[in-house]
Amino acid sequence: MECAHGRELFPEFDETKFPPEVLSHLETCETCRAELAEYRELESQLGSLATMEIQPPAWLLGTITERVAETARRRAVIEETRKQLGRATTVTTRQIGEHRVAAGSALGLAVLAGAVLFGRSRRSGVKVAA
Amino acid sequence: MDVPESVIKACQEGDQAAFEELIRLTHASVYSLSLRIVGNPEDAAEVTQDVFIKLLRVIKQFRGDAKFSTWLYRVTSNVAITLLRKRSRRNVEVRMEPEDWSLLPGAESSDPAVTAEQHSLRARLDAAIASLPEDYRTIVVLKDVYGLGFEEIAEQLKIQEGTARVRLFRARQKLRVLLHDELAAG
Repeated sequence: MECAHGRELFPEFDETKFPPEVLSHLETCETCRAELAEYRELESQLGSLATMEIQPPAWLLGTITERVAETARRRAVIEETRKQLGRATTVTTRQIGEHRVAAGSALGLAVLAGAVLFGRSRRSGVKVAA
Repeated sequence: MDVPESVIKACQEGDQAAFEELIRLTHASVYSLSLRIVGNPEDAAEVTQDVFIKLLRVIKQFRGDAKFSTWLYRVTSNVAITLLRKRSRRNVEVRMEPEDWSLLPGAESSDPAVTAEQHSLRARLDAAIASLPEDYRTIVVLKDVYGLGFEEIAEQLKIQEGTARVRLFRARQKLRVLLHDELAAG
């Protein structure tokens, strides 16, 4: 087996996927063993990097706390306003409904009155301006 | 990152003091991940602030199925990737200088020799990761450093899972070449 075949698998970081021919090649090929060892070391070092936290700028903690507090305050105000508006909206909707009925009736009456007037004017031969 | 369950629960119930405690306990982790993805301290600070603003709204969605740290990494990477997209639309060039990033004092050993070694290792690793193309860097950071799964990485990056696997494979190959001397000595 050629070294290239095994080397295609090493970056997978999963030796359970190595076929038997790669495993037996590793027993005899020092170069491939060395390369595999480098990948094992790379995996281990990358895995340890998350615990190595980077120092944030000193001002960041205070700024986050302030922004979060400000956002929480704003959200509370919005929530309260929404609740109040919600009540107001209910009333307004009802009122709008009543107004709609009234407006609809008025329009109906106006159309009826118009029709009556139009009819009378036609009978009397008087032109009604459009 | 170690956040007591009681703090998380109190945050979910809207306790402001608990939320401040959560910020204190986790902001360095959030900043570190952000910095490793976006690559410069100004953007990482912006991402970190946005993560906690977002947490105010979404912390109730944490149900304890995964570790809190994993969940928080997911939220953080999501915000960081959004910033990367905005930045790429604006064609912003970012100069990454990982050698200027210093380790958090708490992460250091009491043994000065070990501390020096940690600094050196961290600097070499971060420098190698930073030198990768953005596509490779994000995947290697999320998968190999912070342990996120392929499925969620692919979903966040809006790519196929197979594409994520290929990019990670190539990223590892590049890293091995870049870090050959250190890895062979390790």
